[in-house]
Amino acid sequence: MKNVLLSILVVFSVLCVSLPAVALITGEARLDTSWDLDSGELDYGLELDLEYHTSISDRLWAGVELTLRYREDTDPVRIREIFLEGFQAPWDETDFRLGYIKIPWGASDMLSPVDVINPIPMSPGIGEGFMGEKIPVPAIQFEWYHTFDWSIELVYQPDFTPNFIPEPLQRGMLASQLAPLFGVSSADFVVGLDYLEPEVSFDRPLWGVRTRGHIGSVDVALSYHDGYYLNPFPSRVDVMVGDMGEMFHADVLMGYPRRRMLGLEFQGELRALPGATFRGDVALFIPEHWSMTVVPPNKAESFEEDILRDPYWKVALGVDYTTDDNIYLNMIYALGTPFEEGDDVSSYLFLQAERESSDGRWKPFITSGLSFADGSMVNALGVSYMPDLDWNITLTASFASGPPDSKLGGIGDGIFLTASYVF
Amino acid sequence: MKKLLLFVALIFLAVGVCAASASALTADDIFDEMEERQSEVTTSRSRGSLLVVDARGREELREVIMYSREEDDGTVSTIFRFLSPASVRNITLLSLEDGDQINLYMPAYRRVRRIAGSGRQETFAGTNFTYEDMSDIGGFEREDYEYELIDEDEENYIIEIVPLDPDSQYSRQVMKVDKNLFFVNQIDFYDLEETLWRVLEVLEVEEMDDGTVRFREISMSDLKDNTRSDLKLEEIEENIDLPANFFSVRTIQRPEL
Repeated sequence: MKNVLLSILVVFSVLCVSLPAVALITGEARLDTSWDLDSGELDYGLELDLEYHTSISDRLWAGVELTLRYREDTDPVRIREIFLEGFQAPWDETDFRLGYIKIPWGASDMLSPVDVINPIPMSPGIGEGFMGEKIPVPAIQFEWYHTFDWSIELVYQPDFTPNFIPEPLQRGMLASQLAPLFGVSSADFVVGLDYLEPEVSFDRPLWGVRTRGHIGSVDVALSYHDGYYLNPFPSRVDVMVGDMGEMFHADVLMGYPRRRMLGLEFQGELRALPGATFRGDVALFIPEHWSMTVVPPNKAESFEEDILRDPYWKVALGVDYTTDDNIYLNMIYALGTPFEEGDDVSSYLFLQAERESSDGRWKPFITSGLSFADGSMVNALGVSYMPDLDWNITLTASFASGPPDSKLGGIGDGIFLTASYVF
Repeated sequence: MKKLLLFVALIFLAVGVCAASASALTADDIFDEMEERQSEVTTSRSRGSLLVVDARGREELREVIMYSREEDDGTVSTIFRFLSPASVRNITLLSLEDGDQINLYMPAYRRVRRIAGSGRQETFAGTNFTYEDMSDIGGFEREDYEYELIDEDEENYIIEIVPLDPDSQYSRQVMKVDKNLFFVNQIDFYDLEETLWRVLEVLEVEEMDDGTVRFREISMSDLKDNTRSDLKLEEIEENIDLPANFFSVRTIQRPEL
């Protein structure tokens, strides 16, 4: 099967860059390889992003963006976006997009807590694209520019799409969470999963509203989103004595609690720190009360454990600065990541530094993250090279410190190589 | 900081054709003459190409489109977009009121990013121009410089310009002004160590029916990096109708301009 897919990818790539009939299609071909230094496993994948955009009128456009991929354990075809969009449509003061779309909220360069609409796939490491990839959702985005500087945006989502977390990873995380309740190690737990997704429909949509504009020299936006957590939480756990050699087996029913989010985002210059640009997002999350019912083995009495109860904050505050030597520095304080909610939210500091060579071809960079909660760290050193404008080759070495179950230690050590060609 | 004001002023100003007396002119007289002969262009739309040449001589040709408008207060707002190749397609820069506000639209992320502070000094999409260079289109503000007519040859007046801004990356600029047409022919930019760093040259101008001329092609060379960016305009429309809210964050997110 893999060989067939690979052949299709290669043939399609050649067609896209050679035949006039499909010359309107643009995109990117990308080869990713990663070497897990902990397990010694080498993984690789080939992706072909294809984009076709066309104008229907001077105010209406349509587009299809697909990814064909050749990689183990992933769908061979993924929709990146299929949309119809209108500018100054249907009225002069309004724009809209509808379809399977991405709706980025937030001003922060990474880990934006207000960027809650699109699910994300679990990133394999801190290589290129770390936390940057999004999964499209069926939605309508409608923006009304009621003044020159300010607009109001409405988002309507008649379907629910969760984050993509590979099941083995999800089972491992749950085993780590459940094992301490029974005084055993996570290796003694085998977890079976079942998911119950929220009922979302045209009548019961997810929705959001956002207003954005300028206050002085600062771009600001306020947002509200009424939806569900994109990560699943356990709601019922039936624990049995294992019969396959393991000590315990747990059947876990996972659900998605309801969530309301109030967000503030801003980016601009503050006179107090000349030369620095601030970008920040602050979000207040109001969860529904969510608890996990645990039914122990041998007819012991079940018990409940609260998972989400009280409102809580998540934050990403960043400042970037370019030195006289053209070194770009970006420091971000984050309270919470996309995979932390409620009491699990903790503090991090991320630092990114990069410097483009004078000819624009080389760009060495370093990205470091530190968890204030447990002192675990991850550091990624890398370099990007652009042989010409269409090619980009990026080599990244990522090293984590801290126990595997720590906040950042679990990212592990790895080497990533990406080569991409834009056509 | 007004690093390349004269470069961008050159792009957006058309100057009148007139033979002027070369005798006893001062730098102020020359600047007065240049201002006098600017054509009345309030809005413009230009299509053209930007050729980026790296240190090894490899060339990349990009299609560009530019819009500009002189606001009521004399400041200029601009939109600059790459049309091709695919790697930079629809990357769009918005500069409002002489760069008072700069926003960059990145289509791959569907995000509008504010460019502020020291970020203005970063080069724009692999060209020889910084964001600030692309935004300083308000014209030459004499009060920001000390200047003096230091020489002349058969074709040009030669004026030395010293920026008063202590943060300027240039110690001085030497500008050659065409004696007949009163437009800038060349500007040499010297770094703080007095080394010639960048050179702006006008490669082609076009004489209009009303007696004004406008540039068609300019070249900016970086002598330290041995790189060059050549901007050539092939279609220029002036005094066109643009909606009042055209120069806005909303506009730069459009798929087509």
